[in-house]
Amino acid sequence: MGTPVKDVELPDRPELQELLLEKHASYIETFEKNKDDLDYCMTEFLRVSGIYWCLTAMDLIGQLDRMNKTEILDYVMSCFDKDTGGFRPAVNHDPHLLYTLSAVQILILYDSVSLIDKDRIVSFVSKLQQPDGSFVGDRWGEVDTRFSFCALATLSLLGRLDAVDIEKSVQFISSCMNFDGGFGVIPGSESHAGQVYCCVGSLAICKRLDVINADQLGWWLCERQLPSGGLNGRPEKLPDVCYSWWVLASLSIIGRIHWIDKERLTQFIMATQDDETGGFSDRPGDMVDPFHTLFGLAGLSLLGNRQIKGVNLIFCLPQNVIERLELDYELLKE
Amino acid sequence: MHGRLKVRSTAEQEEARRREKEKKVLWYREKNESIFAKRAAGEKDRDTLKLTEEVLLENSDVGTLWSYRREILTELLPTCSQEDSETMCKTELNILERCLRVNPKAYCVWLHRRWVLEHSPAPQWAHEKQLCDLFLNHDERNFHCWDYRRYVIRKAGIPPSDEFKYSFDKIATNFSNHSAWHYRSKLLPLLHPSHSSSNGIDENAMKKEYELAQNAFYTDPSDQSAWFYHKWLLGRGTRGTMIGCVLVRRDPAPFIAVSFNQNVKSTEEEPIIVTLGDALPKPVTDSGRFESLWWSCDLVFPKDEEVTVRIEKGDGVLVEMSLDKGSNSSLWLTPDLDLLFSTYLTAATSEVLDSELVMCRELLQLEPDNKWCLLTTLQLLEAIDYDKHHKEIIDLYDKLVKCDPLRRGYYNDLRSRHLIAVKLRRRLEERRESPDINSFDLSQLNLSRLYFTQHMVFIEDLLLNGNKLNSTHSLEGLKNLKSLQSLSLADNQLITLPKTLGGLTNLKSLSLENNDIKELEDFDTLRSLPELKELNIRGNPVCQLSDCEPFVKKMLPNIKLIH
Repeated sequence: MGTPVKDVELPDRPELQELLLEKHASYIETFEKNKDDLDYCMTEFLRVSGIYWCLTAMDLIGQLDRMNKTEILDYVMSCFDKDTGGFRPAVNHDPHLLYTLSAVQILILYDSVSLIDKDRIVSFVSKLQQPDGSFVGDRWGEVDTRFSFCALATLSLLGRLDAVDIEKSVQFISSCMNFDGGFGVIPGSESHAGQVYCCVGSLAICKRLDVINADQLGWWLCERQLPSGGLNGRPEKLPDVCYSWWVLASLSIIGRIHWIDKERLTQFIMATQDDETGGFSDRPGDMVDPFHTLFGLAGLSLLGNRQIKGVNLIFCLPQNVIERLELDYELLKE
Repeated sequence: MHGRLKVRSTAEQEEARRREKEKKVLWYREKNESIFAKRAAGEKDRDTLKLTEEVLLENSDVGTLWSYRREILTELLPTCSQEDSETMCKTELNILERCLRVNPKAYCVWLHRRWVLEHSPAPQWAHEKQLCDLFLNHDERNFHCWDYRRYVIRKAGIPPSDEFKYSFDKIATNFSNHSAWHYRSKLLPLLHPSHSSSNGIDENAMKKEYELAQNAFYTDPSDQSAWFYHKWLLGRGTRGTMIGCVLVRRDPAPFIAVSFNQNVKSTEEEPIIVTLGDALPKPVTDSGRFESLWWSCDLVFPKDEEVTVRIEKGDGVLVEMSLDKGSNSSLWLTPDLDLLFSTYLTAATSEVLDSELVMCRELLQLEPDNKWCLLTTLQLLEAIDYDKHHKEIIDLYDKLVKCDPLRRGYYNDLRSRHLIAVKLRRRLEERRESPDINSFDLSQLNLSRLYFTQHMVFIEDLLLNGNKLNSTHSLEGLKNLKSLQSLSLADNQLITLPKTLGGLTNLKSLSLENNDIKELEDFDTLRSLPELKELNIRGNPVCQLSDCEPFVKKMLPNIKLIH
């Protein structure tokens, strides 16, 4: 027997039809201040990424000045590991590619790249590339297409793509392509919208979107939209606000964002707002967090909401920040 | 924080929970501090293992604590007896299993498990496979566990045929298990390779897979996994590169344009090479572009002389044509127009296409509104003969938009693609007979997007009025119309002028009548059109602006403005 369609029903709450900008700003502001909160404490292992989610969310809604720039930059710099050239997620933790990208995104956002020794970071990232073109996340050898994206995005933001073998990187990503046109974690892994974003983003950075079968992938991606309007990350899974970013950005990179119903997705994202605390959750009625708050806002931005700044499809930073860098990447138009 | 429901509670409950949380924060911090102090001091002993275990059982996502455990184990294991190290590894696996039961999607837990097995004196791969069975029974879609399973299978040397059977069992339990269909797509070419078939899979094995997909369709026709798998079996489209047309022109400026069936790059390894007469072959420069139309003005044709033109790209793509003495231009068209517009079901023989069509038609009798079946029927018809089945294909697209409105943008684009393919193929056939045909009528078709414009490079007069073209991306293809002199975009839904219009440097007449253009600044794009003589903007909101006429006339002083 097959399973019934997994989906949620949107609550009938007119107060959620409006974008609660001030509430979201105050949610993020408080989240970063409440350092004794249990959730804050238990997520220390990803702190630098958490800071990136918060800052980008705030910048997208024009409230970046409510964050403590000096304190944040001091903290991020204290996570730089001079020995390897990578960034730790938090003081005492081990450096990793995931947090190196987040840290570089933060520094770019604050236009403060001059604070760091770029060459050290470039050396950290390039040493993680394997002979088959893949990237490991750190010295323990885990391979994942997420790490390919982290490496290529970091180097692109630093203007140093020349430091790795692009051709091999592309070959590895191609080897992760599946029967449905999507991409997985490693060769052989099932397609997943988050990995699709990482692979499509990587190929855009490498200007090798020719590798993709855009009509097939676009079909699989637009089939992520459920009757509620929300997007899931794989067939027969529940919708989740973060896929408003992973799926939507991937569709935009391959020039097919109009293959989903934008209005219905907007309604779904709006329904995941919490009108008491501010912030967005994965699904209506769940607990909010900064991760879903960023991707809810970024999704709405891609859907054309004028109250939110334009967001860059590949680096998930405000478009004006990326324009400052004059980066070179590819987007499919046909 | 995925899937954590927000629960309402009383003030009293709230307070109790707050105190509980406060206590936990203190505990967590204290433990972490002492662990990191020990690590800084270089301590690698069993006590520290115990300490990190306590924290990891509470929060298994902390990758650094697992790293610390690996550092400790690396130190301790070589000093232990065989028996002792086996016990230590076993303890480690037990802790990991307890963590996975709570947090089965933790990347660092699965990573650590691999490491432990790699460093175990006697890894029990059979036990690991059982663990995978257990976890995949509990959550059949856990992709971490599926990846771990593939690793274990490789290590244990279990043959792919066993796993093929396993994927069948999982599918039989639940036809919606996309993970299991996915696994099958990886195993099938390994188990049944064939050098003769176009997708590398033995035809008899394929037949069985078609049957399996069919069973799934009949069990629950709304399960998307089997339909994706079916599309893959039919062959979803690696096509060879071919050239559609080549346009060569002497005047007003030397020009050559080559259209391909798909986007191509001209790279150093595989450049597009043009040879004119006896001159040396010249590679088209690698600009990093990825396009279906390649063109160059960077050529010198001998005046008043016949010249042969050769185009080459990679494996066997080759065109040879000539530009006669005394003629200004010449168009080469592929003899294989059918292939140029054919759709993607490359792996299936016509026999298979026919039998799958029969199956779909039968299923449609039972499930007339099933979108998956409608789409598959339509794609089979397109692959069999898109021209012959044109009317039915259009009816099916219209029905799909009604049955599945969320994806109307997708269906409308495919429908536009099909319509343009049918019309353009006929037009190219006519062009082959009468070389003076340079116009093309694509009006009143409800097109949502332009396709195949690279093969329209010679068209001088294009009617696109009465469609649903509404945005920049839907008109991106205009950039390929290098010969265009007259263009009608009347009665569309344009809100703004696409920038691609600015590249149509031969354009003399442009109609934008009855669109939704609101901003005067939009016309700025047209400044780069030196030949533009006539512009129709009647019926646009912009005409209501009092300064509309003077503004446009000032910007484009030499044109006839209809407003």
